Amino acid sequence: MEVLKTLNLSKTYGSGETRVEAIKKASFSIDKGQFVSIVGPSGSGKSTLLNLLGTLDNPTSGQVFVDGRNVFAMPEEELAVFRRRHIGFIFQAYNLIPELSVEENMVLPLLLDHKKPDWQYINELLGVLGMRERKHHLPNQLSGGQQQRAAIGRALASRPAIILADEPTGNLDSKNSREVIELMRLSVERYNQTLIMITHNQNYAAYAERVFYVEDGIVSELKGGRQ
Amino acid sequence: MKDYLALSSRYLKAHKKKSKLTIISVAISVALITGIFSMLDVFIQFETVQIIHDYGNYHLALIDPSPREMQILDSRIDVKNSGRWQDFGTAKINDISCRMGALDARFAPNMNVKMLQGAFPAAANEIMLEVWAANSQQLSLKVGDVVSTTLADGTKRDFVLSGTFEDLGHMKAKGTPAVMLSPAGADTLQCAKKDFYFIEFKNRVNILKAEKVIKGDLNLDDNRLARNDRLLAVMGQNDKESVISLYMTGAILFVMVLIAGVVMIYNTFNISVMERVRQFGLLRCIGASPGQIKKLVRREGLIITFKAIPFGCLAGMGMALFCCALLKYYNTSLFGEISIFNFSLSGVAAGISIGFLTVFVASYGPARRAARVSPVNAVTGSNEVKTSQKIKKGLLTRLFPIETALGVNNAVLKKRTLVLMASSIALSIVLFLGFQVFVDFMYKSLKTTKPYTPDISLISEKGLSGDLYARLAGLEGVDKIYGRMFADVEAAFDAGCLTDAYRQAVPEATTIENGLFYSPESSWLISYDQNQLQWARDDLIEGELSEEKMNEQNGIIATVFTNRKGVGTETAQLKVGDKVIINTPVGAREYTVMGILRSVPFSDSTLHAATFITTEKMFNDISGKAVYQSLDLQLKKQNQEETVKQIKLMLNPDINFLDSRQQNAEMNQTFITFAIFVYGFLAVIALISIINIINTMNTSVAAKIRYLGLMRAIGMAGLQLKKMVLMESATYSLAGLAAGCILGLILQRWLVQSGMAPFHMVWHFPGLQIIGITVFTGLITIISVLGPIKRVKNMPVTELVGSL
Repeated sequence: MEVLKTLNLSKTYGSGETRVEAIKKASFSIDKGQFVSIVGPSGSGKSTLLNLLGTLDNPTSGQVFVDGRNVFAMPEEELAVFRRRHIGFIFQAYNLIPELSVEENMVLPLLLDHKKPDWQYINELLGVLGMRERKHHLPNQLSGGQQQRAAIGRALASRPAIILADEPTGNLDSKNSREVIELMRLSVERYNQTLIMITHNQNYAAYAERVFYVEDGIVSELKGGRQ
Repeated sequence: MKDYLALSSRYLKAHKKKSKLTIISVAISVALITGIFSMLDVFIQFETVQIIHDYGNYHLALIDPSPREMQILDSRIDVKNSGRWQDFGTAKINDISCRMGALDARFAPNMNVKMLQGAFPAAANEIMLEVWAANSQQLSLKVGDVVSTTLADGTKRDFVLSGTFEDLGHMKAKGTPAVMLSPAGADTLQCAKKDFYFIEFKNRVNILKAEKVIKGDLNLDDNRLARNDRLLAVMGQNDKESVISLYMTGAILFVMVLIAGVVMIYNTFNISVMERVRQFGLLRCIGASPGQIKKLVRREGLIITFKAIPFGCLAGMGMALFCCALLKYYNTSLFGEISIFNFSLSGVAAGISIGFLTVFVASYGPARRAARVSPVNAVTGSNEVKTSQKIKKGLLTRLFPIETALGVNNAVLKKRTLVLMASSIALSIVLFLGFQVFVDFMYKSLKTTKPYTPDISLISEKGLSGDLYARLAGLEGVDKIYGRMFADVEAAFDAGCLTDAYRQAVPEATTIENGLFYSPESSWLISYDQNQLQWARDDLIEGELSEEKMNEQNGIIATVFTNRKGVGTETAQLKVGDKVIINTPVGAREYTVMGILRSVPFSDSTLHAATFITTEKMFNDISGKAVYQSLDLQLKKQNQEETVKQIKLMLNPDINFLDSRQQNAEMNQTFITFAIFVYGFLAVIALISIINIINTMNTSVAAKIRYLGLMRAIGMAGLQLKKMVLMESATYSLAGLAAGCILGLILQRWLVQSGMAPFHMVWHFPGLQIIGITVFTGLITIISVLGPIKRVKNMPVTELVGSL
């Protein structure tokens, strides 16, 4: 079942001599439960693509459909609500709220949605992530790997359909990196979520069912699926 | 955590130092507002007491009232007290010149007439007298004594002294006692008089409306109803043009204080929001809507306000309390009944309500900005520096050392911060320059004592001997003594110097041979000793005041204004170097004008063509007189009564003893009541400005800590870092200083020329104030960056960069 679809998605920065085409007419679709990795050299447009898929940035032209809904046709407030319900983010720099504990960081998207957290689920997540003992710690009391686990927990807490991860292992050593990738894979399998991950590491890319390659703004598929 | 809004309090708790700075900033603004309103409230209370003391406790006065009119006014339901005052002008009591009047006993307290001994005159043959006059050498009267009086029309009458009342400062200084008749006694007199019926209204009466009704009911002309303008003005019930413009000036400055409060709080919030662009963007990434971000920022504002308002209110009340205490300490008898702990409800209410309103208004902008933060910018950090289309030529780095260039560049690049910082500094300066108008108004409109104001003056037409001078100077309680000689002299100078005004006033003044003029009026020659020449320097317009040179070169000093019938009139326009020919006992002699003074602080009943001042030696040469006609004494603070007694013992009956101490004290009192509040306001504004600048600089450096860490990481030395931060702060200060001075000068000029127009004030470029403000701003800039730089220097680089 198709969960995400793009049609002629383009993003251009600047104008005249400084004009840069970051994404050129990308069209693809992703099914529910798939694990997709995006690879490519630095500055190729990977992050721009991920930002567009996550509705963090607006495209210059083209469309993105999530669960069949044209996301960029939505007004700003509605888009914010849509984003918190359907998309979860995991960043390279973790980006946890420094004033909140692990548990509070995880439930924040739910609170923003005026929902009561399902504590049983949150506890289960904490267990899966191996963070049960650390749930009352502040981010600066955690190691990089632990912080990224908390960030994964936050992305999964609201059970979004799609999880977008921008180099989630970029700041971690190889042991922690492997653990995080494993965790993400496990989680999406367990909760039937779609994971789209940018990575520089070919080995981690190999974990994915489908691999997209981005170079000079052109998106092509290296492994699996249909384009 | 049950609600996402709890994030606000979490943030404030986690960043105690930053939160403290923000709370202090808001508390300062609230203190400023509460302080200004409380002080105004207290000022009105004190000023009312002062005005009642100086001018009497009445609101309206009916001139030449008829018995019917008095009865109607007295029976009005809105009238609290009323009474009649009849002024019979100058009279004589036991051959001593006095001022005679009659006042209704029930209205005496309103006019500050306080009985000391005996009873208020009731019978037609009873009078009362000021106590100083009754005890004076010349009168020496006791209650029950019979005195003979001669009225202005020459009628002679005998009266019995029924009592004495408290001295009136201005009468005592003139040496003319006030004598009060009974209303019954006044009815029996036939001579000319000024007749008034004073009305004091009850509280909360609309006096202007009542005035209209009275005018209508009694069918009165405008010139029959006079107002106690000052009292009505302080009660906010005066529609006179000059008072309205004073209210307007006040209102403009108050609005500016409010704007200052809003800008200060806006500034603080804005900086706090700008620091967290990334965090807000992140929240947007995980699903916060723009509305939710707005709510978060506003909630933060609300928490800060709740914490800041009590402190602010207390501090504001403290300012008012300080002024109260100062005034009460200065004059316990006048202000004894006003409580020091003067809780100004309006001040606190204004502080709280305006505090909340200000925070609401001030957080609106930052909240909107926070909500507009793009999530993608937050995660990529790409909004930190907006890419400009302009090519950066790096002019600054070529012209200045790198740290200077970077500092200036940092300030200029972030336009919004620059505008906010500069506007906050500029506002303080504008406020300061604006309030200066009141200080000028105070100096120009309220009389104050000068260094040469005497405590005691001795005057004798026959002259005061050198021996007396020496004996007085030898008294232990006499601080300074200076004598003056006066003479009417025949003086001639270039007829072209005479003004048209003088020629119109004295048509007989004609030009004679040699281009000189002839006038039937003589000129007034006054002698000044070295001390008096020194004091006169403030009034010197041109030339110099040197005793030595005047003696050597036959010099005299001319004055611009000559006192004619109590009005300073420009009779002649003499310049330095002009020649004046004066008839001396040894014939006509030529003298040179060596200086021009604005005026002299004395007046004479004789009309003069011009006024000249010279040294005592020259005076002797010109007039042939060698004795003082007037001696002014300044007494030491201790044992004044004893000294006064000793002085009196030295005097002959033909010497007039004038005691100006009470009048001086009252004049100073009026000035100080006003000055404490005007300077109080200024001090508050200056203090707030200092704290605001320091706070803003602190916050600004705190916000840049990782940038500064980065600079240190890439090799910037401690001194360079200091210079860079200082240059950035200096850029803000300089921009604020320039804007503040320009706008402040425009405002000051406008206030003086429009708002204060009825008071005939002249606007001068406030050079000294501008220099002072510049130095002050410079100092504050340096002080404000010292703390933050020290903090940055003491922090390990890894920690600073780690705060990325």
